[in-house]
Amino acid sequence: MSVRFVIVKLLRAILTIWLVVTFVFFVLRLSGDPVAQLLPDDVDKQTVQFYRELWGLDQPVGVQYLRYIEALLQGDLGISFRNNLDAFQLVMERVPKTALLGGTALLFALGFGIPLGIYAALHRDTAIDRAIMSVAVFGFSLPNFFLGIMLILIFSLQLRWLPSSGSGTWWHLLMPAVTLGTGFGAQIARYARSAMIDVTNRAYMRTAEAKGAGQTRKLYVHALPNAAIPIVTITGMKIGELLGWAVVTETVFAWPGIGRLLTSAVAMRDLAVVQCIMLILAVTMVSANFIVDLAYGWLDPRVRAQRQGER
Amino acid sequence: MDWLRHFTVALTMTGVLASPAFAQDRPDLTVAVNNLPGSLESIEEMGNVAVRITYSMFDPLIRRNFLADGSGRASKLEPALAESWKRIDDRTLELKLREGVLFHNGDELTSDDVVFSLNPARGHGYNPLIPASRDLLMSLSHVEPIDKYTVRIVSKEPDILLEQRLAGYAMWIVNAKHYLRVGKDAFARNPVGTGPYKMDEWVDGEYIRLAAHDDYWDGKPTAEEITFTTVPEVSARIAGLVSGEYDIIVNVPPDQVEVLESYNDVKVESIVLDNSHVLVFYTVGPLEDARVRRAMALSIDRALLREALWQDKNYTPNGHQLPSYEMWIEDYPEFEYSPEKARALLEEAGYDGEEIIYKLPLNYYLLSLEAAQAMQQMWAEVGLNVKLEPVENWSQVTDANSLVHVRPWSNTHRLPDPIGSFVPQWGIVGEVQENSQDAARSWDAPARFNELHTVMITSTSMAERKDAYREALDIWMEEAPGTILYNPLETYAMRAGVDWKPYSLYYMDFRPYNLHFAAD
Repeated sequence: MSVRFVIVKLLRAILTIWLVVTFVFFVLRLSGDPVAQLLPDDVDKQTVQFYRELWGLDQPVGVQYLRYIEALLQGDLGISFRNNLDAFQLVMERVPKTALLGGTALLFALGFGIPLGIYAALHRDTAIDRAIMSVAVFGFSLPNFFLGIMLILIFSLQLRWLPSSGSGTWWHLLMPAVTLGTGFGAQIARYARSAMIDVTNRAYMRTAEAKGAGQTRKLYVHALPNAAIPIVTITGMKIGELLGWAVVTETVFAWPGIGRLLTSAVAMRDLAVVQCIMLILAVTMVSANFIVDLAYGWLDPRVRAQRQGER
Repeated sequence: MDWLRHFTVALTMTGVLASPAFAQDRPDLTVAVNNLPGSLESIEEMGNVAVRITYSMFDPLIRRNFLADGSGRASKLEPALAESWKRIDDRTLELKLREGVLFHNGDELTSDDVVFSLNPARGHGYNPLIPASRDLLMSLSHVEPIDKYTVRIVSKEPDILLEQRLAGYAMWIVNAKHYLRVGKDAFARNPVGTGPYKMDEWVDGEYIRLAAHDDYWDGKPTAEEITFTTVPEVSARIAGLVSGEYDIIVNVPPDQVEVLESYNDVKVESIVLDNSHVLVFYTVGPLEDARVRRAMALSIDRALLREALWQDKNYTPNGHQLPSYEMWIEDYPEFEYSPEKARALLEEAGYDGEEIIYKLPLNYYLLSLEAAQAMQQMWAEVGLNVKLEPVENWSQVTDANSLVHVRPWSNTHRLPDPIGSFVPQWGIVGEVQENSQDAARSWDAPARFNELHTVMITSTSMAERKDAYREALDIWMEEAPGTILYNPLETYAMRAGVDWKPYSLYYMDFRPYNLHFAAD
């Protein structure tokens, strides 16, 4: 892995994060007045003015931006307007919950997506393949707020097996994780299928067959490692998307993660909290992509060789 | 693992105290709410999300009895932390505090706590610590401690409504010593009041759990714990109620009432709020002419709106007032629906079909978009060309650089008197008469209207105030800077075994007299 490669990637990551932070800052301020959102609709004007000054919103946007960047560089992410708590701390308290939900959903998605995709590829063009792919397309097209509410109606309301919302026990995790993981798993299944089909047509598979490798060896030693590359790529790219979808899922199930914090903070225009979450999301996505890039080299000797050649 | 926790607690208690009587003998109550507040400081957040919790944690000196006539909307004053009071003069009220009232931390309530709670530096001075409720506290001058259990509350001007104000928003008593020791931010997270329930645990974004304050002066609380758990999605709240996870749910949309009522073990309680959904007509463009504004108001079929959107369970008050007002003008005419008169007015004004823009924020007022769509048709029938522009938030509604003629609004009647709503909202200090975005949108009220408001504020004669009120209402109807649509309905649903009545303000009163459990 060349040093230059890492430095270029890092600089790009920092630029991306700066762009996100700046964009969020201006869009938030141009699209709504926090004071109007946080105070009752019939409050008097003096009170409105008091809060505007208190929160520095009476300053020109440019001045606010410079102050924000200055504070950011000192590691100060601001104070929530809503409850006067440190925004970063507020967000970090929610991260474990989102990580738990996202991680479980990811495991669920990979756990059913990859085997189903491989199974479908191995039984290409049979009724089973078509059935799996139909289910996958259906699962992918199902909006997750709809799936979530359907699950609540069935498992909480009708059967009364599972709690409808909250995060107190492991049972609470089940429906949100399935809701969040289904669409993703369906996508993984489709990618896994096409990656496997692609791989099984390659010359090295014929070589393996020619040298007498059995079905199992062919699958695990020759086909899977090669098919893994696109699957890893798509997984890395989708982790960010998973966080985005978590916003909806967390709201439906009252799961107290950063997604729900984000929706309420945006609605209330709690600027420091929104900015903090967006910064964390940007860092997460950029890091995920960075790790995928590094993982390529580890998975694919050709990429590794090419990068070494760049040195 | 709730059962495990209770089991352990019960076990520990029986072990330590060797008395099975200390095991939990009262149920827990779980209330699923749309959102939790950011602060429980009693004057920092006055919205529904906060007051439904803080109402159980603090007491006022004088209490408004919402249930005096069984309706949940009454405004009878009763002793609370003050056991009696008397007028010294038209600015001064002397109150005798109840002796032996204990705060959550065991401190006894004294006049010090009243002096501190209502001191200007906290909420309504020139640069107060917490300005959010400034307008509600503004009329107070200071509090004089006479002795340990006697205080005199003095208003800045002669104030006929002082007793009502003390029973209203923001007048709750906090523990002065505790507050001063821990500071405002810590108090906001863990407040100490005299109310029937005290802070137990607050998990951000999940729940706020209150525990019974067994030394409560007004009887032993009837629930062991009350947990306000946040469930933003209405279908999840409903599912959780039906499945037995929650005992009470809030903010039930009117169209779900029928669904809920179909379950035997669930019941629905609705209450018309002390709040009016109104329209503001900016006096610009075609609406500069009062006749066009009056035509806008005349062409709204309010009865149809109530029937179609609210199942006819709410009402439109007669004029900008409520029946619970002490000076309710009972014979004031209802808002009229007359397309003929509207057409005639439009013809007289020479309205030429110029576009009238109605901007409204989405998801702010319950059913406001549905009402707007229906009204658009009603207006079209008399020839008013109204265009609806739903937007995301208030800034987009009031944006000075874009065209807007009509906006929705709500007026909360914070006191059972025009001083609690009509005067601050439509009077000379309000946003209507002095638009902060665009001066042209300000309503240029007749001088007489504002004179009458001064009478309502300063006069100490109810009869004189009532005459002024009637005349001011007449001017308001004639000038039509806005109009009232109806008072919205708040709907709660609960397990059939929970006996609890909602109020016309967003308070949820879980005091012993208003929360009982039937044996399931």
